[in-house]
Amino acid sequence: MTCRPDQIEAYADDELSGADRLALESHLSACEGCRRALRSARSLKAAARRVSSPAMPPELMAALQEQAALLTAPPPWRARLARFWAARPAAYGLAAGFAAAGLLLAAQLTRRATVTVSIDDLVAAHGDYARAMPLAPQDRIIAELPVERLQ
Amino acid sequence: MPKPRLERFVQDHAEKAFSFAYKLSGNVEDAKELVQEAFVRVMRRWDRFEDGQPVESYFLSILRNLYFDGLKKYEKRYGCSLAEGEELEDLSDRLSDGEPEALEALDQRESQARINAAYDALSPEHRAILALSDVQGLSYEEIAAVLDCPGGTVRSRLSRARRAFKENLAQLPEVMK
Repeated sequence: MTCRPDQIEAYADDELSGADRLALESHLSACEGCRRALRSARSLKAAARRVSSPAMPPELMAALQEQAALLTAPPPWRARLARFWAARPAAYGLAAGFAAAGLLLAAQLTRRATVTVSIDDLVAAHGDYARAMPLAPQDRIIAELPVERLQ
Repeated sequence: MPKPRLERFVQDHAEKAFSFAYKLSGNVEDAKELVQEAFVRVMRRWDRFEDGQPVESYFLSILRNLYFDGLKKYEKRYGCSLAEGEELEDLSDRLSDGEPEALEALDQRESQARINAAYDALSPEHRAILALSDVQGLSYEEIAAVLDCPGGTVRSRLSRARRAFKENLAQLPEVMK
């Protein structure tokens, strides 16, 4: 293999693979000029890595995180509901109880609505009801009747 | 790879983004402005990203485009961070000859100011590609995605940027005048 200075940089960047990499490595072991070029490329990379920059201002990170939180926050009513549940774990049981009671009531109503009664039974039930009703306050009715209607 | 949560993405990339923005713009205020604007743009599109999409490359390309779109404004304010009165060894001749030991010596001993000055003197395009490669540690493929160019172009541009960086290091006494 002849000298391939164009591949030295890619090798230093770890971007050479397969047969090209093997061939260059074999060549490097025999070529002092290419070894020097490789050392030079690596030194330059190291120098570039040392270009400094100041630390990120903490207020910038805080502002970015606040923005991200705002964008991913649920709508206000959902947030309020979530806070409510989080603050009242006992309310879970209560809510479950109400839900179960509601379901039972609905089932009961549905069952009543579908009951079928024969007309004879219905008339008999009305008769029983009328018989069981408390007596009308006859004394009071008579007392309040106009005098001319009294016999 | 599943898309990260937005808060996690901010946490993981804000520091690197700031470093990249600073290396492009050369001052803290501009870097803050660039980073904030780039994050806002990514956040607006966040729901449209799907698992496996290279969000980081997209984000860095936004940052880079914001900088180059406002290049005149940012370049006017670009600050050279060279420390005054720093003692500098003249490596010009040895570096010009491509002597690796001189660069190794630079890597070991030379002052931070010297390296920063050589970097500051680069063109914006060269600063961008060097920052993406050697500072951010992106692969050629990732850089190509950020710069929206073929991988082969990355290789040649990176090579030119490094050559310019090396020349600046060699000519530093002139840069400092």
